[in-house]
Amino acid sequence: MKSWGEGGADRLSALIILGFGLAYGYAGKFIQVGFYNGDIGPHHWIYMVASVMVLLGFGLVLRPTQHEFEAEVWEDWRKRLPLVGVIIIYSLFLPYTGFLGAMILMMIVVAKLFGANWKQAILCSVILSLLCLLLFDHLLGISLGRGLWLK
Amino acid sequence: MLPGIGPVNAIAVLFPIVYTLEVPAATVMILFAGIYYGSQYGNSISSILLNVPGTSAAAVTTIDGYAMAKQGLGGKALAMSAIASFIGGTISIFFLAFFAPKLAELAINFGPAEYTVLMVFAFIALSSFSQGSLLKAIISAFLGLAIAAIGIDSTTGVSRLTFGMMELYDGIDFIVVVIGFFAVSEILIMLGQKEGDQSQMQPLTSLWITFKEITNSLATSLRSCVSGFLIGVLPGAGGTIASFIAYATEKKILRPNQFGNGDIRGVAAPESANNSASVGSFIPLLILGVPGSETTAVMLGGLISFGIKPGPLLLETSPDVFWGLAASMFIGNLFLIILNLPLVGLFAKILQTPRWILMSLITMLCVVGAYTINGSEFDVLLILIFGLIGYFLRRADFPLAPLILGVVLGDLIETNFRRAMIYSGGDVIIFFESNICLTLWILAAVSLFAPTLINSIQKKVHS
Repeated sequence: MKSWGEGGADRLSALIILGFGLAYGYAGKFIQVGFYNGDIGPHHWIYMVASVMVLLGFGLVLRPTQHEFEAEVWEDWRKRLPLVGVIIIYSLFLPYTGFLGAMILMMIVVAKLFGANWKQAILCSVILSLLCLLLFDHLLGISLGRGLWLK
Repeated sequence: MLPGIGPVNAIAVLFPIVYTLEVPAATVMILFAGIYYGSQYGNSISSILLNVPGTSAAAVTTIDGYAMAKQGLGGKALAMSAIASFIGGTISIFFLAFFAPKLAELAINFGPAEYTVLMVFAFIALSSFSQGSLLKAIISAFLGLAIAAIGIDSTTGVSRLTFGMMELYDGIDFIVVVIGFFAVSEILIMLGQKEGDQSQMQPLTSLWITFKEITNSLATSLRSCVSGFLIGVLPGAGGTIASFIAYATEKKILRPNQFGNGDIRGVAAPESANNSASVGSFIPLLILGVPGSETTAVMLGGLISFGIKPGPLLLETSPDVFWGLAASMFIGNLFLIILNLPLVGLFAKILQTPRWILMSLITMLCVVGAYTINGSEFDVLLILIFGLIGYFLRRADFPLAPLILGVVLGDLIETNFRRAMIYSGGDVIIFFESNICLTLWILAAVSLFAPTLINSIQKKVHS
């Protein structure tokens, strides 16, 4: 399997950390510090964390570990992306369809991704979603999102 | 017990449920502690029968446990694992009850500077004992601190890095971070793995163990219990190192031995040690507020969420949490041996549950757990974002325990640091003035070099 090469993935991670550190520090500039401006204020901590992250990022660029990482396999992401998508869809649908509709849809996709056949996926998602609703909403009194149609 | 789904994922998934139920803090701690030390035994089932350790702490058990299972002695190995776990877990509870109040007396003199240095020590200890690069562990800790700083600043009330989003004003709930970084990233990793060949599982044989075998392993269990407890007390060390050191020590002490080829004492040593270490790790957690592992870091976050501030005053302010926990551990250990021996066959069957059922259930609990914290879909999206970041961090070999520690201790370390700086008028010498600070700096320096020594012991075990 193709690899990132010695230190390649570490350097890439380091650059991301470095960029994040810089962006984090820059975001600290917009904190409304008020009367604490002269003392150790809320923005100083942000600057401190950001500076250390930038330094550590530099450190990792210069001294990456010897460990080699396998490159990401597109085949695996063909399974992961639907999971990412279905969780986003769940959070978008939840206010409208309520828990049951959104969860059954999500669970069918998840079960399929983990190798269930259609019959197993539908059965598993309906049973688990109903059990979850029964446990949380009815027995424990914790609302899982009722959706527009029940409001 | 299930490989990949360790105690931290179990706690992460269960936490939102108990949080919304408004259960007393002591009860929650007892539940978490039960999961934590119960998992130490549960891990041995997959280690012995499948040769797949549930967590790294059970890795050593596979050496002799699986060798015994291949010889048709899997039942005996599981019985010994339960007995050694019971011995290690029970005796260490007495150590906990004895040493914790003594440490609390010592720690009562801590001021903001001492607390800051203590937390720096915790970061260094946890980072240096994390597997892989120290630099990456420190980066991970700072990522945690960066996440913890989001929201209203507890000292000034100023909002930081919220970008006008109302959902971020209260900060990011630590349990959202835990579910994302641990559970969701685990699901993403598992999606790329092929389902394990379950036919490799060794058959479960009779659990009958002779009295002679128990007495022969008793000294091993007792020695490993003591060493395990002492290692468990050190922040960052934990069950993995405890089990490796116990195994290496016994291998050296006991001559002749069959270690590596199915010696029952090779199961007793790591099992007693890792259970004892898990009890020992509650001392720094409860008395100093310093977690020693990712699981105890999550527990610390749980305690803070329930308004309990672990520290030297815990024994006075919340004695029910401390003593309730100690008592529950004893009862838990008793149940561990009473229930696990007759039910081990059933537990072994759980290992053969189809992955699609298990993973669907875990995904559902993650999503539901995130939603129930604030009743917000935003948290569901956050666990996904953290899950993706966690996935890439894990692929790039960044340990996640320091990150969780950063999130949990972020606010405390910042508050204490700022207080100390205000007291000293901005002079950093305050962090080096007292004897406690100096001792903690020395301990931090020692913990930086300790992994090198421990690595050489681990290499000896493997060879």
